[in-house]
Order: sequence, then C-alpha cells, then structure tokens
Amino acid sequence: MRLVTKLTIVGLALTAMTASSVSADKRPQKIDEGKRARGLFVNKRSDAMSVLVLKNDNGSLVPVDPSNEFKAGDQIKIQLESNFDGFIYVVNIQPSGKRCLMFPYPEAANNAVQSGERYEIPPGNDTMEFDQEKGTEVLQVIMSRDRIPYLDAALKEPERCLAQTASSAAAELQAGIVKKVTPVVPPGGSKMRSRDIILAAGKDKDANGSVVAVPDNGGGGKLKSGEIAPFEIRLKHN
Amino acid sequence: MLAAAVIITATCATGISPAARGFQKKESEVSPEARVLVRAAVASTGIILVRNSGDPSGQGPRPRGSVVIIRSNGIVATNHHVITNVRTGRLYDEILFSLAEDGDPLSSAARFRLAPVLINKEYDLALLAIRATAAGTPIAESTVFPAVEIADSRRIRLLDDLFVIGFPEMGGTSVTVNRGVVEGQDLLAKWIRTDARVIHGNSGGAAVNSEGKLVGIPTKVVADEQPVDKDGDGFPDDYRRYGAVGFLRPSYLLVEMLAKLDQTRPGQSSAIGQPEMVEPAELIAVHGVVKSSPDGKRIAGALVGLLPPGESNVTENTLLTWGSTNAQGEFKLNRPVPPGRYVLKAKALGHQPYTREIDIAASSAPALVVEMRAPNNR
Repeated sequence: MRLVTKLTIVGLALTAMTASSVSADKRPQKIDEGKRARGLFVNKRSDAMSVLVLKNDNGSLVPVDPSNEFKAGDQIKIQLESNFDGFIYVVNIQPSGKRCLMFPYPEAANNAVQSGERYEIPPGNDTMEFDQEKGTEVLQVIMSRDRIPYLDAALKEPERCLAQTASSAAAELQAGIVKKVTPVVPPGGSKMRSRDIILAAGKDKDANGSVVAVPDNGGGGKLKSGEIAPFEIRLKHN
Repeated sequence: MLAAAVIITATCATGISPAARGFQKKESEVSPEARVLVRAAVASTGIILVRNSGDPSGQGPRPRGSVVIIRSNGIVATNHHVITNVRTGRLYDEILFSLAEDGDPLSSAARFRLAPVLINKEYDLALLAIRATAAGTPIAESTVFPAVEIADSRRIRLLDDLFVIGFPEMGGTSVTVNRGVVEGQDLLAKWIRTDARVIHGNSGGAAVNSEGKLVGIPTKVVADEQPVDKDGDGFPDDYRRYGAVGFLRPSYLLVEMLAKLDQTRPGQSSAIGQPEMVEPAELIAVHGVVKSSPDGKRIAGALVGLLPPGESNVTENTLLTWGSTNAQGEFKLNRPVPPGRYVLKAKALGHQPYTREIDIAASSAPALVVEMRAPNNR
C-alpha cells in the first residue's frame, strides 16, 4: 500500500486556496499553544510552516482533516508554505517501512524554499492516489536551514527512496559517507540536533490549515545551522 | 540500459571475455619478495581430474578444476561443484589430482587419489584427503605435502593484492597465475569479490595474498552481459559480455571446516568413507520495533542495521542487513541471517544514534526492541 501519483482529469481550484487542516502525531497539549504557533508563523518570530492536505472531491480540491480515514482511490494533494528561507524535505514512510522522498519532487530537485511561497506535492495537476495497500502512510516533514546530504543522496537513488542499497543505508547509519568517498554530512554533522516543535492542528475545512513552529523560548525560534525540525503527518488508509 | 548479471560457476565459464587489465603492467608492480612468496604458493596448487565408473574403459580421468593443499598431512580443499557430476548431482567415483610442479598433470605418474571427507554445500566447499597414489599405493603417514599457509581472510581490505592460482581451461594443463585486487566483500553471503581473472578451471584453486598465504577459493564468476540489437528492430538479437567479477570463498571457512574435521575425525584426517555433509545453517528473519525512550512511543522511519560482532564502522561492506520502521515502529531486516552475535545500529531523526551487541539465537526468538533516546540538547 502506497501513495501513487496519478494525473487527475478534474480542474483543481488551487488558486482559491481553501486551506485545509492537518493533524500531526504530535498534537498540542494546550489550546493556547496552537494560537502561539500561528502567531509565530505569521509574525515570523520563529521558523514555521503551514501544511495543508487537500482531497479531490468530485473534481474540486477541498481541505480535509488528515486524521480521517482514507480509502483506496482517494486522491490528495499536499501544500506547504514556510515563513523562512531554507530547505524542506518530505519523506513518505510506507506501511512496509519503505521511505521515499516526496519533496523535492523529481521535476524540481532543488528543495530550497522561500518564505511565503506555496509548494504543492505533487506539483501541477497531479494528485496522489491511495492504492489497495492498507495501513498508515506517514509523511515525515523536515525543516532545515541547510541541505541534509543523506536525503539529497536519496534523490539519485532508484525511486528516490532511502536505504535501497547497502551503500546508502550505510551512509545513513554512519551519517558520514555515501558511496565510499562522497561526504554527505560535514564534520560534526552526525551531531545534527533536532528541535522541538509546537503544532496548531487545523480543523476540517479550516482555511487556515495547520501550522508547525519552532518554539521561541528564550528568543531561539530560528533554526541554526545543523538543526532540524521534523514532524509527522499520519494518513490512515483502510 | 542496465546490465544483466549472469552468474556462472568458474568451472563452466568458458566464453567470458575478461576485462582488459594490462597484466604486464601490474606484474611489473609486484615486489620481488611477493613474487617469491606467490611462486611458493604455486607449489601447493594442483589440478583435479575426475572419472566415473561408468565411463568407457579407454577414457581416462579428465581435468575438472583446481585444488589447493591446506595441510601437510594431505588435506586439500576445492569446490564441491568441482567434484560433483552436474547431471547426476553425485560425487565422481574417482577423484585424482596432480600438483602444479610435478610436470604434466595428465601423466598418471604424478597423480594422487582423493577421498572427500567434509563437504559444505552451502558454501560450495569440500575437504578431501590424499589417500593413495594413482596406482593405489597407500600414502605413508610420514609423507609431507607442500601445504599453503592460510591467512586470516577476515582481515583483508579493499584493494589488497590478490593472486589467483589454478588451472583455467584456457591456460591448458599448466598452472596459471594472474593478479587482481580485493574489490569488495559480502560478509553475510561470505564472498570476496575480485577483478582477478577467474574462469573455467579456476574453481577450487587458490587465491593468495602478497605473502603467498591463502585468502580464498575461486568459486564463481558473474559476467556483465548486455543485450545487443543488431538489426535495430528494438529487440535484442544477441548478448555481449563486457567483463566479469570473480567471487572467492574466504579462507576462514576452510579453517572452520578443518576445526570441524578435527572434532569429528580426530587423527583420522585420511580416513576413507562417506564424507560428512554440512547442511546450510538455519537463517533467521530479524524483526522488531523501535521505540522512543522514555515515553515508549513507536518511531516511524528509523533505520536499523546489523554489523559483524566487534565492528563499529558502518560501510557497504560491513552492513549485513538493514530495514526501516513503518508507522507502527515495526521493522523487518531485508536479509535473514544465521544465528550468532551481531552489532545492531539504529538511527532516527530526533534521537541519539543507537548501538548494541545482540545475540540472535533462533527463528522463534521474540521481536527485538530498540529503545532510542532523545538527544541531550532537547
């Protein structure tokens, strides 16, 4: 069971930007934390991003709460928007455990994102369709100020998947080398620090969508070099 | 177009075009000391000749592959497939060998009779005992054969020099030596890969290092074969072979077999009878879950791998098997492994790298539980 890319024959009302809601596995503990995350996103006091999941509903893309259960044939589209200039990676963790990069997509290997720009997965008129394989699809979204070399290396692998060969798996486990000689993480990169995040979970048909932000505790809401902020979106497929 | 891999045991690899490798140039780089030591190892190498009892009476033994003496009391090693009739799957009725330096190997005067004593089908290896001359005269216990010294093949490194000694068909019935390097290893499947030429007849011979010590047994070759569309109709009409990679069984497997032989037949290494068969070891599919500590939440997208015991450096040559976790934090490694001790490594975003030595004992073992901690800076 995996997401497959399929060209839709319906018109996609992307310009209308009816934002969706997104639920991540890390839900806010307090109601005000969501407001705080949205504030950080809008005011740019912290590095943050919004994530929208749109579902094809009789030819129109409508926001959906990803915590809903999807079924075979459902077509979705993901929209990302960051409030900082940096890099975003989206890894699809399939029910089998296979991990493949969804963003950057094949047509645009450069995943540098700019503040305020909206990015779609998949791009253009394509959507992703749930196939017959049931389970939970995890979209692992990673925000960073730098490129993450072992993920970049996966762009060159078959199907853009991670750890498909012994060399790429070894490089990821070692976080130091890939294909014998090419460094994928600079010295000290194996100490890549992971930042906590706070989440404003969107609601069904909520035009504001969901927002994920790095907490600005002590004024430290900006990702530094070597820091990443990962979070997950879980899509149930039954 | 991707190359198609064609796997051929080295006894039947006729027709493979070896990659052009400038043999003379490489030869000139071999130190005088290495030449002496490698030439000394040639004295331990011989040619296998076989015959079936049903063969026509006028038909003598025919060359079948190579062999190397690994104990001075007359224990030799070769490949199982060298002494096995492919059509019947049975061992040949008569197995003989001639040493490389005993003149014409097809001359019966220099032949010895061999009796299989231990066979490992999984790794295509066989130990045989020299029991008599070709004429049937028993070998005196005091006879000392020129055995090669066995190196610790676990310590070889990429690009180490290798010299393949044997009797490839294209080299006729005289011994042939050629040089290559260690191109890689498959620690789980127990192979050493080399660019040294391994072709028909090399099977069962010797691959020695620059000290003349045995590091492997040439066993098979994989040819790089690509389809060719001669008439341009979009369909391949022929195949062209561009090169080959030789595969050696590491010599530590022979050490293990010798130890087993000593256990089962102490002091009877030249005993005659049915050879003992070592059946393939049970392979275990390793699976488990990865959790975050201390909250116990399952981690999706974690990568888990196994290394040989004592190994800390993760490379494509030391990583035996690996797999990543799904949404429920469950993983299943991509290759089953034999029982034994391993180093388990795991990595997950937002967690500290994980390393632990584990014992994998049986297929009924419970799922592994890997608990990964969040980094200290959180």
